[in-house]
Amino acid sequence: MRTEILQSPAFGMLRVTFEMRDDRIVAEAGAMVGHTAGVKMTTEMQGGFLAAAKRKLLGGETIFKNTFTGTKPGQELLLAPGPQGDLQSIKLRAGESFTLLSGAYVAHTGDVKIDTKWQGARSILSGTGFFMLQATGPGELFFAAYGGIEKIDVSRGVLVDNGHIVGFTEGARYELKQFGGFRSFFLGGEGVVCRFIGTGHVYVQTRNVANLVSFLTPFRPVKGSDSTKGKLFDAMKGD
Amino acid sequence: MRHRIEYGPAFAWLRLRLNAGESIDTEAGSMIARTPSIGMTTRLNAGRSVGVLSWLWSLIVALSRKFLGGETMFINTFTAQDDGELALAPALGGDIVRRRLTPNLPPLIVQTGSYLASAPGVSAELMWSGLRGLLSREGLFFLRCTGEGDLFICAHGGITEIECRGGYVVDTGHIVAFEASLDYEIGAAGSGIKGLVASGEGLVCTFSGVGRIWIQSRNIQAFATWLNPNL
Amino acid sequence: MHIDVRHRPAESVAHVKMNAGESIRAESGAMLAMVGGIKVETNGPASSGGLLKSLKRKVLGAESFFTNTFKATDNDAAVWLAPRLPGDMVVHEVNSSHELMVQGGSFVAAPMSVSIDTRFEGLGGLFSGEGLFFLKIHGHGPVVLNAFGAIDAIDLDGELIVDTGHLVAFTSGVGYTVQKAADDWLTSLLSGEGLVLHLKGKGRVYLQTRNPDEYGKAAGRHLAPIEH
Repeated sequence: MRTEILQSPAFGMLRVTFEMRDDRIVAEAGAMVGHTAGVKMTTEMQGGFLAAAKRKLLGGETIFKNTFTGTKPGQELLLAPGPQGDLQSIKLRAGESFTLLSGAYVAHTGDVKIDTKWQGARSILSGTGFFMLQATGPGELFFAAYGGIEKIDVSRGVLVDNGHIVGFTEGARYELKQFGGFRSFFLGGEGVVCRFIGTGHVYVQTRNVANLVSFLTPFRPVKGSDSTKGKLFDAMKGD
Repeated sequence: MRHRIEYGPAFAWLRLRLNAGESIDTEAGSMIARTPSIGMTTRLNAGRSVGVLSWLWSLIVALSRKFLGGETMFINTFTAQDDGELALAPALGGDIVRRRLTPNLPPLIVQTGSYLASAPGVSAELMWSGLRGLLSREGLFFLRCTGEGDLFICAHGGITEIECRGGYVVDTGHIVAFEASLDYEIGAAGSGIKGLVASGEGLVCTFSGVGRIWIQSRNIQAFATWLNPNL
Repeated sequence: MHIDVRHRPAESVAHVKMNAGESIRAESGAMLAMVGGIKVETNGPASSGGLLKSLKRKVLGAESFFTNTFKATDNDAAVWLAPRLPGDMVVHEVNSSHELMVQGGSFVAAPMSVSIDTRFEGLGGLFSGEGLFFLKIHGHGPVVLNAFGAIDAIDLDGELIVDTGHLVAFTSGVGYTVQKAADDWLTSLLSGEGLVLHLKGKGRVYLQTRNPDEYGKAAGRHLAPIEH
């Protein structure tokens, strides 16, 4: 099975080419862009109903996962995430773990186990709709970010703004810190930051969902009786 | 007319060089910059017929395009009084590609929101996608483009050209354009009710035959689904 | 100081490497990550003056008036800076030969050798989604600018008509007047172009290939509605 990442870093998309009989890839529901006719898709609730329901309630991910299998060599499958940004992968050895933002998960091959029970990093992202998952190998994990992805070595100590954390490797330890003093928390813009130390890397995305939300909120449709009138006016304006 | 597409696939824009007398039709609101020798006229986006009744029909078609097709009602035609330059871009992030149409090639079926600009010799007819289209969240209308000249289409995301030789399945939200030589059928991604509801995929379009399909690597619905838990 | 912009044009980030004693001032909220010994100080308004109080803070338009100064206490310290929305960044070197007018929201960072004045144009208008609000930048040193979309740099010597929402910055040799997109108001309104800027002169012009307002409308309507 060949995998190739296209259009990085703006609109990272994964192209999978099936070569052998047992080639399969599991992907987030909704990630499929297209595939050669003949590629089989089965849907399951990964981990059983309860685990899936918990993932759904905690937000940032759908319950369902799709498994794609090729039926003839040469068939292809294209997968893409929701936001614009880069798509990267990491190969995990058996037992090796990677902590990943729930909204960043795209797909995995091999026997990667995805665990949402891991309490540790719940606090990192309080205030956003996402939480952290722990992925354990063997296999390859494909993840996408909102923005470009910078891979930073933690051994010198790195301070990362919370809204920009995508994931980090085993061996990286973190602690939460307030940025600057009281004054900068409210005025400086950066709120809570995470200080990473240890070994390995932290993956940082170059954009932040909270800013996107605050930018788009005024443009959201409004539920109300005068919304049709508003729509008609906009239509006449040639928007 | 010469063209250059820059900054793809992220935030592509289309730069055109028009000689005196040349003109180009564009989606309203897409102009970024132009030299003063290029003038602009605006008309309803419904074709080029004349007369009161056809103007009324144009209005109806243009309005339905707006509400259902996601496109603006108006087309801006830029005409060069003297040699000049023009830069155009769509609203969403993504790529732009050019397709040169000739009467020998099959017509190009384009998703209405993907139309950016076309040379005067290209005709973009609004096409009702039939009952099959009723299932698609992305709208009931396509544009059927024929004629002779350059057609510029844009997408949300990067644009990938796929050669269909037999069969190819594409999530409807990712279709930008395809050649009319292909047959297509819209349906649920998975099988049965479970497939429709559970798989998370919206609807898919199964293409059969031989022809080219242009797809975009992002889908505004999937983007909204991803962002909604954060609102 | 060495500034390197990566992941252009969509997901750009400016990697600023500094040695002990060097510092850079950035708009608040721009920091993604920092490495090495860096002291951070939050400053008041980018420049003083009562005018700032009267400026309304738009979602994207107006600069936040608080900046953070990052000062390196070690050699090889680095800070990663990025703007709020997807888009490009570019570094423009300003010097005594010119000033740089930057549209509100497009300034990211500059060292202290660069001065920033706020100048409010007050041209809101019925048809234009963006109020024209410029910062006047002068001094000497690198200025990090951002855009929504890709940044195209044009060396202008003549005239150019530009859609107001697509102008990022221009140097002082270029003058501008605001005009209607078409000859009559109705066409200007229906054409979707609204107001345009007629630029004339000699200098550098930076354009962005997308318009945040149009993007907001196109993307926002697909999101979950706000319940009243």
